[in-house]
Amino acid sequence: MNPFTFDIRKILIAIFIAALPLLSINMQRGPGEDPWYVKPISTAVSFLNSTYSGFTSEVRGTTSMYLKLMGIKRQNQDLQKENAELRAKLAALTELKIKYDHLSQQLDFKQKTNMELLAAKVIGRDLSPDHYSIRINRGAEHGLKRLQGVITVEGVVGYVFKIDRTSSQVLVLTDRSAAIDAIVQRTRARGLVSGKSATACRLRYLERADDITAGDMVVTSGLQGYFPKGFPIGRITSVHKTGYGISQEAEITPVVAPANLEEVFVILDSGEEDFSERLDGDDDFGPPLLSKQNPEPAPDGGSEGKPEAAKDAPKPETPHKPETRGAGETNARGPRQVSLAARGAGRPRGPR
Amino acid sequence: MRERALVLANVILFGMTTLLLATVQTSLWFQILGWFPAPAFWIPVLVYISLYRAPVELVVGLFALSAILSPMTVMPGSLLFMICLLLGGAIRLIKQRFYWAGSSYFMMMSGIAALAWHVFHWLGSMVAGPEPLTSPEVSDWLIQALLTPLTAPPLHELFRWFDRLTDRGQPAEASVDRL
Repeated sequence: MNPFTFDIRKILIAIFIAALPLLSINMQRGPGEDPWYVKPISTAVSFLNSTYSGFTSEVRGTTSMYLKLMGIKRQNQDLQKENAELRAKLAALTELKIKYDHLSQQLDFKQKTNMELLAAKVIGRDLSPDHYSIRINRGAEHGLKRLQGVITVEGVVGYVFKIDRTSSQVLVLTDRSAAIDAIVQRTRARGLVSGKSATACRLRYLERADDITAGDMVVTSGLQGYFPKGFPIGRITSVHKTGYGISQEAEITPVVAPANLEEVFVILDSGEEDFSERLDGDDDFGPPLLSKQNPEPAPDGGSEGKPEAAKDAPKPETPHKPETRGAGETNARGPRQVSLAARGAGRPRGPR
Repeated sequence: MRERALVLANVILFGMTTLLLATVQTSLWFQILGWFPAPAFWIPVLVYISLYRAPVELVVGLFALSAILSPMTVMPGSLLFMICLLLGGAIRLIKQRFYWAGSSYFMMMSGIAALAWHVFHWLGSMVAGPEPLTSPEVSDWLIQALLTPLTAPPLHELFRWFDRLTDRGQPAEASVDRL
C-alpha cells in the first residue's frame, strides 16, 4: 500500500466536518440580519405566506358569507312570512276600519235624524239583468210596509215593492218601473224620476218653461210621504227638450250607485223631516258623500269646467265635522246641499 | 195512486230545484261576486221540461216555473209567464227542426234559451210591459248566455236522475213523434 496514496473523499469529509463549527460561528449574526443567500428564500416565503393568507382569508370569507347567506335566506323567509301575516292583518284591519267608519256614519245619521229608520242588509238582486231591484233582510215581521222609502246616507235608493215575512224586495230608482216624485233643488221645478239604465234615471214631466240645467241637484219632493223632503236623488247630466210638446225631460245620474249597495235604511216614518229647511239655517251641514258628486271649486275661486248651476253656487263655507267623515273625503258643497251624516241638528233617537 | 205520488214527487223535485237554482243566481252569486252577471241557473229547468215533457205538462210546468220565479223579480208575473211560454214553444219548434240526443244538445239549447229569454223580454216589454225596455244590458245578456251552458251538463244529469227516481223513464231522445 502506497503511504502517499490518499482517499480524497475522506479528506474532503474530514475538512467539511472540521469546517462546520467555523461555518456555524460565521453564521451567527445580529437579530434581523439575514445572510445574502437567505434573502431570496425569505422573500419567496413571505410571498407564499401572503398568498396563502389571502387565499385562506378569501375561502374563510366566502364560507362565512355562504353560511351567512344561509342564515339570511332563513331570516328572509321568516320575515316574508311575518310580512305576509302583517299584510293580511293590515288588510283585515283596514277593512274593519272602513266598515267601522261606514257604520258609525250610518249610526250617526240614524241617531240625529227625525226619521224612524230601520237598517237592512242587501242580500240579493233581481233575476233579470234588465230590472233593478234588490232584496233586503227585513220584512213584514220587522214592521215593513209596501212603498216605504229606502235610502242610504248618500241619498235615495228606491222603495219597498214586495214584502215577505223576513225579507223584502226594493225597487231601485234606476228601474224603469220606479217612480219617485222629485224637485230640482235650485229652481223647485217638479217632475217624476224613473229609471233608465243601471247608472241613469230620467226626470220626466217637467214643465217646458222650467229652468233646469246640467249640474242641478234633484231631491225628493216629500209629497209621496215615504221620503223626507229635500233628500238627494241625483244630479242632472243633460236636458232633452223636443221641438214641440208641453214638457221636457232630463237625465240624472243617481247619487247612490246600486252596484255599491251593502246596507240601506228603510224609512218607517219620515217624521216630516225637511232637509231643504235645514239648508236655509246656520247649521253646519257637511254632506260627506254628496261632496263626491259636487264639482270641486277651483283654488282661485274660479268655476272653469263647471256646469252653469255649479258656477252660480257659492264656495264652501265651513269645514265639516271630521269625526263623521271617511278618510280622504273632501267637501265642496254649495249652501243648498244637504248634510246627511254630519248634521248636528234634529231630535236624537236611540237605535232601534 | 202510486203513479200520482210519483208525478207529484217529480213536480216537487223540479220545483225545489228551480227555487234553489234561482236563489243561487239572485242571492248566493250576488253575495260572492256582486253585480257580475250570474248564469241563468234556472234556464236548464225550462229547457228540460220544454224538451222532454208533453205539451200540457209543459204549459203547467212553465206556469209553475213563472210562479216560482216571480218573487225574485219586479217583472210583472203575466209578462214573465208569457216570455216563458214563448221560450218553451220556441224550444219545441227548434227540436222539431233539428235534434240529437245527449247533453251537448241540452247545453246548446240552454245557451240559446238564456239569450232568447232576454230578447223575448225586450220584445215583450215593448208590446205588453208597463214600461218598454229602452236601455237593454246587452253585455249582461251575452255573459249570461255564455255562462249558462256551463251549468247545463250536470243539471241535465241531475234532471235525468230525478226522472229515473220517479219512474218517468229516460227522456225520449227522439221524441219528435210524441209532440
